[in-house]
Amino acid sequence: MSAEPHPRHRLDEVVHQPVRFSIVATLAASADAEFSFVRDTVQVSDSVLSKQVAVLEGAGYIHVTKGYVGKRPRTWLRLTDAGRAAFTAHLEALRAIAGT
Amino acid sequence: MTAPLPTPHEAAGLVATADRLEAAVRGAAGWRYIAWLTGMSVATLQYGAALGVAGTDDRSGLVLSAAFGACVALLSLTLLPGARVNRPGFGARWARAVVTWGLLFAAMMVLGLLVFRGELGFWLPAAVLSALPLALGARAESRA
Repeated sequence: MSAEPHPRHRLDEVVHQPVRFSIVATLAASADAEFSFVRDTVQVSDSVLSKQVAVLEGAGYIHVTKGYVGKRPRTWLRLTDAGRAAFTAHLEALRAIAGT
Repeated sequence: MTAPLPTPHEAAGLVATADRLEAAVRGAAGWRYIAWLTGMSVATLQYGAALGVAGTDDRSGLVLSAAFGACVALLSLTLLPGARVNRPGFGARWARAVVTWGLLFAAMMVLGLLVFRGELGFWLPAAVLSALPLALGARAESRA
């Protein structure tokens, strides 16, 4: 008899942390987003966002691009394919746990 | 997994959070591009139709062209630089609308000025056709 594995096995350790979950959920709905947009949407400080972005970038889940709009420096965040796949699986697991 | 497992209630809350964030992105993304595409579509339609009405009057043609150029500059400088987020697939939708418009607009200008100069019967449908990709692009972006 082979039981269906519990959905908790599909939860992603990196994405599960609350702030990182919100960052990745925001980026999952975007092609790319400016750092300040993610900061305002997730409602965290620059330093908190920078720290969590570094973790996600280290895991290969997001890609960071720095550039300029006019003379103003801008940082753009984009979910990688691996990050999008991890978030999709994580969200499916959450839906299974929630029973929705 | 070392982090505490979410209860069904917490998991439902996280799913709701993801839905809320997606809605926030949807609300914030695209409006600048939708406005640019719509504005450019209207400007293209008016410019083409006005060139047809102007006929062979060079002075009117120059004034209309300067006004069209000013519209393009104004729309581009005020709307395009400030976008902070884009929806998935935006690049392809944007390229499809702008490249198609560019080709049709170039064809309208070349044929209109070299072959059909002063013929309203050419300029009016050509203006509508040239404006269409931008209008369709605005609609696609608003539905993304």
